[in-house]
Amino acid sequence: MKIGKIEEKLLLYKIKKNDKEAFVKAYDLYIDQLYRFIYFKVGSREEAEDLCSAVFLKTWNYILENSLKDHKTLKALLYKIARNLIIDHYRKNKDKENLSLDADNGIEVIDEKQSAVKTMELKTDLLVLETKLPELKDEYREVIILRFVNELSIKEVAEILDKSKGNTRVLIFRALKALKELLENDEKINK
Amino acid sequence: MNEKDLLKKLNNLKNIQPDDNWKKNYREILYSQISAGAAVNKSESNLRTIWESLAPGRMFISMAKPVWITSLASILILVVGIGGVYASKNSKPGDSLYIAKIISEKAQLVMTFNEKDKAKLGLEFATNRAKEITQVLEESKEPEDKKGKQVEQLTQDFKKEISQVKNRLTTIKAAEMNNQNKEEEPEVFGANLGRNDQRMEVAEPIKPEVKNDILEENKPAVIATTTKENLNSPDKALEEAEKMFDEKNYGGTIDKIEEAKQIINKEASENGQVKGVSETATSTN
Repeated sequence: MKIGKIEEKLLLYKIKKNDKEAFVKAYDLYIDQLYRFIYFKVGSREEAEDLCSAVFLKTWNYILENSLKDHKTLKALLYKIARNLIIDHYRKNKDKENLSLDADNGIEVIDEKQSAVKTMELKTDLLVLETKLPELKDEYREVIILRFVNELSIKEVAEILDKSKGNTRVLIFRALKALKELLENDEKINK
Repeated sequence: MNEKDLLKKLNNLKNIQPDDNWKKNYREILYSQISAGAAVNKSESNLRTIWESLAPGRMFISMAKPVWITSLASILILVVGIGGVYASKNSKPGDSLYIAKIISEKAQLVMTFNEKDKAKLGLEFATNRAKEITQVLEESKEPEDKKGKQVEQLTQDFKKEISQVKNRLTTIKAAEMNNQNKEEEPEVFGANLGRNDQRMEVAEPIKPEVKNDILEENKPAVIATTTKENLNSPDKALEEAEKMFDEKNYGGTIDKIEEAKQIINKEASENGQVKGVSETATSTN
């Protein structure tokens, strides 16, 4: 679901005034991309769902505390809260198990209604990328998901990562280069 | 794999989506959770939201910043400007602040609209030039050539100022003469203006007598001032000042200019008094 800039600002303004319906609308708008972002970071469907729900609840509490003044966009706030929650999640589960993106988990996530061909194509893409993405540095992976999967603008990515636009551009370039190298190496080995 | 393919494949990852049932269920849970926690707020229409975001309060906050910055900057410029003018008061030709002094003098002249005040300012500037000449001559460090040039320039400026003052004084005098001639006639009619017909009828036979009395009272004062002008006019003082200036008696020149200034001031105060008396006399009618 796509949203215009003015519409997004209106939504944020309404949410700042504790408008619940507006917040639920924001949930509808951002849940998919936020889920994706969390999923690629934690690698498990259940954990991504739990963290997603925690993100929205925490964001609402944050708004109630009237702390939304500093944030220009709701999207950036949601991502920032998600990042913090993921860090907390890692800390808590550090001793329990080593989390990584599992190919089987990833395939399960695909919508069952999609055509078989497309599903197959996606499966291969996902298999390749999902196995390679965790090999990337956390910073690179994050930036690739935000920019190329969730299609956020450089300005938005910079805001989420608390970096300048220039730094973000450089980071994106390096991340893409690193991913390309990984995939090329993989191809060479397979040959 | 080229970059385009890679980006396309990355974009395919978009298809990873949460389970629809979970999404729907959690939507309801979230709504109930936020409803339980917060005070109920009605959803507002978009128009109202736009209006509120454009309301004067918010506009003021967003506008306040540049306004503060510009006002602070203008205050700073003003303070620096006033400081510069003060600092330049005692400067003489060749000083870096001398230009500021000349500019401030010109600005003062432009900002003054009364011809008499302009004449007074001109006299003040002429005294400044005379003072500057004495300062330049007293200066021992400067070479003689430079001093000579500066004195020459200042002499020209002094003469210019004095001639301007003289011109102003003649125009003021001409204007005063005109006014006197005019005042004599309309004063009789002027007293009746603004009154209704009934009162005019009652007042008509009495009025001319009263007016004549007032005119008779005022006349000697006017004559007195004009005779005084003849005896002790600022023009004469200025002529003497110029003579002294030519004789290079700069101290005497300054004194004479001061004298001329005092005469102008006196005239102004006397004229004011006469006017005041005539105004009170007409208002009693």
